[in-house]
Amino acid sequence: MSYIEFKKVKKVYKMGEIEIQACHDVSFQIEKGELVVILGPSGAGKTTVLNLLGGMDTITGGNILVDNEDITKYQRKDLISYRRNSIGFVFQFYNLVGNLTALENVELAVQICKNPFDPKTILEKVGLKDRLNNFPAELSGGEQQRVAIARAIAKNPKILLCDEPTGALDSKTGVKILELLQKTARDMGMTTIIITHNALISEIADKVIKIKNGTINEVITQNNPKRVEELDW
Amino acid sequence: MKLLFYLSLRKIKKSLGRFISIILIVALGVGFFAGLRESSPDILTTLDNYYDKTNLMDYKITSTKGLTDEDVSSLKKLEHVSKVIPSYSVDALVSGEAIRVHAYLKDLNQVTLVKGRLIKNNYECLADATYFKLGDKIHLSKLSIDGILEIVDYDVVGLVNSSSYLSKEKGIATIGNGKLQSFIYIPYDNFKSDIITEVYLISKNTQEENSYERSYQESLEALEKEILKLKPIQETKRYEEILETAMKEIQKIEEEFQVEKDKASKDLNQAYLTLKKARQELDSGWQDYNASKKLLLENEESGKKKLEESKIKLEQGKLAYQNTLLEYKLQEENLENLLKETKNNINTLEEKLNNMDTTDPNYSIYQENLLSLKKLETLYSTLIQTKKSLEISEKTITQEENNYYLQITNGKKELEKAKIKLDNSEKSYQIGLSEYNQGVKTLEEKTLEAEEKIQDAKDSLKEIEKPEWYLLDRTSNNGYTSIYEDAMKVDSIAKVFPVFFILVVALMCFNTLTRMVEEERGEIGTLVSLGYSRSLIMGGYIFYVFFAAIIGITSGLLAGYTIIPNVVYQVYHSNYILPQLEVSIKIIPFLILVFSFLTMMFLITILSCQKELRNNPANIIRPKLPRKGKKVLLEKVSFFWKRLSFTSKVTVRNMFRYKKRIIMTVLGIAGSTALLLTGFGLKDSINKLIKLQYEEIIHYDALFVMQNNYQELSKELKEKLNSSGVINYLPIYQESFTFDAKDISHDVYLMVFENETKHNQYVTLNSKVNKKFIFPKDGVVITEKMAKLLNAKIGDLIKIRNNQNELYLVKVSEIVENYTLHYMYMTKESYENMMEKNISYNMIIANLKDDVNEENLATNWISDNKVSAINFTSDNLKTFTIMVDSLNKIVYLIIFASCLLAFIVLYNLTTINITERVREISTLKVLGFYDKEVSNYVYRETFMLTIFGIAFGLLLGVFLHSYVMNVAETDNILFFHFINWYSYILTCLTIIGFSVIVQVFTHFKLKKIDFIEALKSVE
Repeated sequence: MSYIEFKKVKKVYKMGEIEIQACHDVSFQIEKGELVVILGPSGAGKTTVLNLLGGMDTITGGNILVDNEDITKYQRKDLISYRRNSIGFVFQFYNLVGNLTALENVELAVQICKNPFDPKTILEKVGLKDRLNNFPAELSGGEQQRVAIARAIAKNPKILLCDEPTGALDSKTGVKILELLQKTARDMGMTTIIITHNALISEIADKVIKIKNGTINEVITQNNPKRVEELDW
Repeated sequence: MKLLFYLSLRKIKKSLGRFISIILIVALGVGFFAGLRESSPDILTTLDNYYDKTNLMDYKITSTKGLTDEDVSSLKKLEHVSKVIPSYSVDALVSGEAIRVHAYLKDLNQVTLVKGRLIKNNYECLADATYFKLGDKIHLSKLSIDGILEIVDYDVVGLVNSSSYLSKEKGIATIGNGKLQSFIYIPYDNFKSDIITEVYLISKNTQEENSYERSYQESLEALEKEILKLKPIQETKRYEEILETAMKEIQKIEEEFQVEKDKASKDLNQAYLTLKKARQELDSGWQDYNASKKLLLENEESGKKKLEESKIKLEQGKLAYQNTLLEYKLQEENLENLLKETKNNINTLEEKLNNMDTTDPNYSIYQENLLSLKKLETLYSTLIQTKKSLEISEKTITQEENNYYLQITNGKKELEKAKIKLDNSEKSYQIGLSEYNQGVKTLEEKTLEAEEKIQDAKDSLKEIEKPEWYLLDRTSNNGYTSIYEDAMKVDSIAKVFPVFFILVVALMCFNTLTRMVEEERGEIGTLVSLGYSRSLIMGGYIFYVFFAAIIGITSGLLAGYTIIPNVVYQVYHSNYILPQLEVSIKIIPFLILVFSFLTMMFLITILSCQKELRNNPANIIRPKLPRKGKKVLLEKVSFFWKRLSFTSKVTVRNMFRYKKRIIMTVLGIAGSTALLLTGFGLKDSINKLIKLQYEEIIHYDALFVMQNNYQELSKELKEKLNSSGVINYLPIYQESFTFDAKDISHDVYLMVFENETKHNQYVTLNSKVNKKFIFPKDGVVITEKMAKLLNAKIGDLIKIRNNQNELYLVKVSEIVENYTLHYMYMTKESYENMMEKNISYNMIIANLKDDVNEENLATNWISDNKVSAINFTSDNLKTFTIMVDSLNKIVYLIIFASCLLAFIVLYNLTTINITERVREISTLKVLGFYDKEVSNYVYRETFMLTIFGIAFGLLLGVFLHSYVMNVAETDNILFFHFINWYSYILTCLTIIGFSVIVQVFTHFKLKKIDFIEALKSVE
């Protein structure tokens, strides 16, 4: 039994009378501690898959098992708890609370969790030791994304979900962020899933899931993933 | 152009909620503004139309002695009069309650038929729709004027409202308990009286005027002058007429009395003669009786003498007989023997003698013997004879004696009878005599009495007061003035409140639009970069706003114009009987309002767009930089900051992040709070005012308005007062004066106490200037509001005028607390000095025992004709409470509107807050905040701001309240600025309550946020 299992997952959005099939027949497994990249072009349904896994959206068909729990059976409140305790999110646009300092942004997430890490330690780990009391507006994009990652990790989640984490960053900063993500996933043994349309990034993954037109195209297991610094940008 | 137009339309479709909220806010503000402002004009116009339609009189003339046909015809000759209609009314009791019976008039003071039909015969009436039912049988009793009506039983065939009776309080009656309960109209011809009780007049000049405007009064002036000129002439005429009638009456009485007196004298004379004759007869009877008595006595005497004589004779006879008998008896024995012998001897002797010769010696002896013997025998027989005659005479005497006694007794008996008869006659004579004497005395008394009466009548002739005309205008109608005052109160409130509404509305619109422009920054930037001019872009917003505003303003105006005056009017229905409200929407003011509101919205739109559009296109097109987070000042106070929980810190920091929002929220909530507090405060102040005026300042229970004036109360009156359950009383003199302040004449009541040291038991006077009130020996004490109107201080001279328009200058010596009407107080002495006449009291103020039934008391006094009315403080309190109640209801309307406003403000602000921070909220959701935690996170700020807003609003409310009170104050009311502590609490709770309701709404709104979508986009 795998740590995460998608079984014939289907998601249909209803826009008025029109039904849009975001994904269908999506099945794959992810093992605990794996770094997975979900790769696909825009509009392929990557984010839908991630949202379903992150408990942010409800499923139309199929099952998703996380750590032997079928999250598709969860009620609204269970889903929130699931997000609260098991999931860490990193977005393309950081989504920091502008009115809180870096430390406070982490604290905001931590204060509602069961076994969080110390916010300061985590921020030091992501290399923001000197920027603890700065507001997001005073930080660069990369720094902001580091805060976002710190905020996601500090919750001590089961799964770290990253939606185009480097999408808004220049490549140099992007590399740094990827390095950070790979390092945390390895060091902390945290199951990490990264969504990207950049095929290059997929090289650092233990497993690459390729999505096209809302369904799984290919699942590649890479026994020797590259380290980020080995990538050729 | 076309595209921009479509864009605006699409915007409406896209953000329908916002569009509707603008419409609602505008409609609400405009509706209240216009509705409240239009309420009193609408009401007054409706009433004026009502008066015109029912031909309500302009003047009513009554007189203390009634009016005559001559009066009517001279009134008809006046130049400015259009209608003069003589009529009748009389107060009567219907099952114990006083009602007024009017003559039904066809072309003046018309009634509005509510139900049933008009009268067809003399036994039907039209009756007050609020008091009677169709088919009621009315029996009138105790008519206040006897003989004025022959028919006293009526069937109610129609129920009516009358413009003469607007108020449900019908006024004062002259009978019963003094309270007029209702009214009926009966056929005109039923009144059988030479004296007209009232004459109604309609002026030629007033038809076109609005009754409640100055021009109405002004156009009445010409007629008033004419009437006032005619008044003394007709009064004198009537006076002379009455005098003449009275004199004729006296003459007639005198004549009648003379005739009666003559007849009585004649009768007495006759009686006297009869008595005299009876006396004579009686006297002769007595004479006869006495003569008879005398004769009887004489007879008795002489009889007795005779008898005595006879008895003496008999006695003498008896004595002689006795002597003879004794002599005889002495010889009897011998005699008997002798006799025997004699007889024998005689025989023998005779024989012997016969045989013997005469010469014989014996012979002579024998002879002698024989002779003596014979003599003896004779003696004896004489004796026997005598005895026999004696016995006979004794018998006769006894007989005679018996006869005599019988005669005497009979005589006496007869005499007795005669006496009894005489005595009886004497008695009846005496009775006759005393009757006669009585008759004489009565006649004398009666004469005296009649003469006195005639004298009295002659005296009272001098006392006949000159009839006085009373010229009453429409204000004499109960309710005519008070509804005007009520309407004016709404007007004064309408002056302030709606402005606040508009301010809050402007604020909210500005808020919403600013947010909208900020949201559409990207779009604006795009348009600008495409080369659209700023004014064109602004035009798009103006189109959007105007579209919303025109709908909002029009619907608000229409709804406000129709609903609010009706609501206000409905409130008055509890105190008045009114016609249907005529809502009039006047086109020009309507358009002016629409135009001014649109201008306001236009300015707001420009103001909102200005900031974004002023930027250069490059800046606009770039996403707006996220607002910098900033530490707040509070964080420097680390000992405090450290103590705050994380979420509290976040709240505090967020609150200070958007300063404009803070200001908007706090202002919006403060505005609503202030309005609410003002509303509650108005209610408090008014209630407090009644309490102060009628419980603390004026605390006597009853005011007796006396029929006559008194220098001193009569003993009878004092006793009556004491037996009526009066604890204590004080005669007072009250007179109404006027004073002018800023060209307006105000009424003021002068009160002079019989004993001013006792005033505290009835009226509490608290000085507004000095610490302690001491009744000043000279000058006049005036009340606060009067001083305020006159701008008078202690020591100033003020001008007052009495009823006759005579001017007096008086010195203000003290100013006292008072809230309704104006009063002046003076000592007896200063009054007498001022008026140069002695005071006589016309009223009595009194405190009553708790168990006194006021109605019975009034009935008792009024039926005694001692008082013309009793004014109970409890009634004043009631009347005032009812009046104030209607004002309270208006206040509720304002409170309701304020609540609505508070709700909209809170809802709108929270909504803006959410849309502004949707990304942050989504982040929280992704982080796994529960719905409740998210709501709390968002709402904590609003709540804190609400608290600030409330605190600020309470402060603002105190000032606003004070301001409204000053504006709403009428000329004869002084408001006591007072807000009860629980009004503050109630205000807070209401706003917090709304806050909670809004929170619930917000909660669901937050729950529905599509956080995935929100997080996808760039801010």
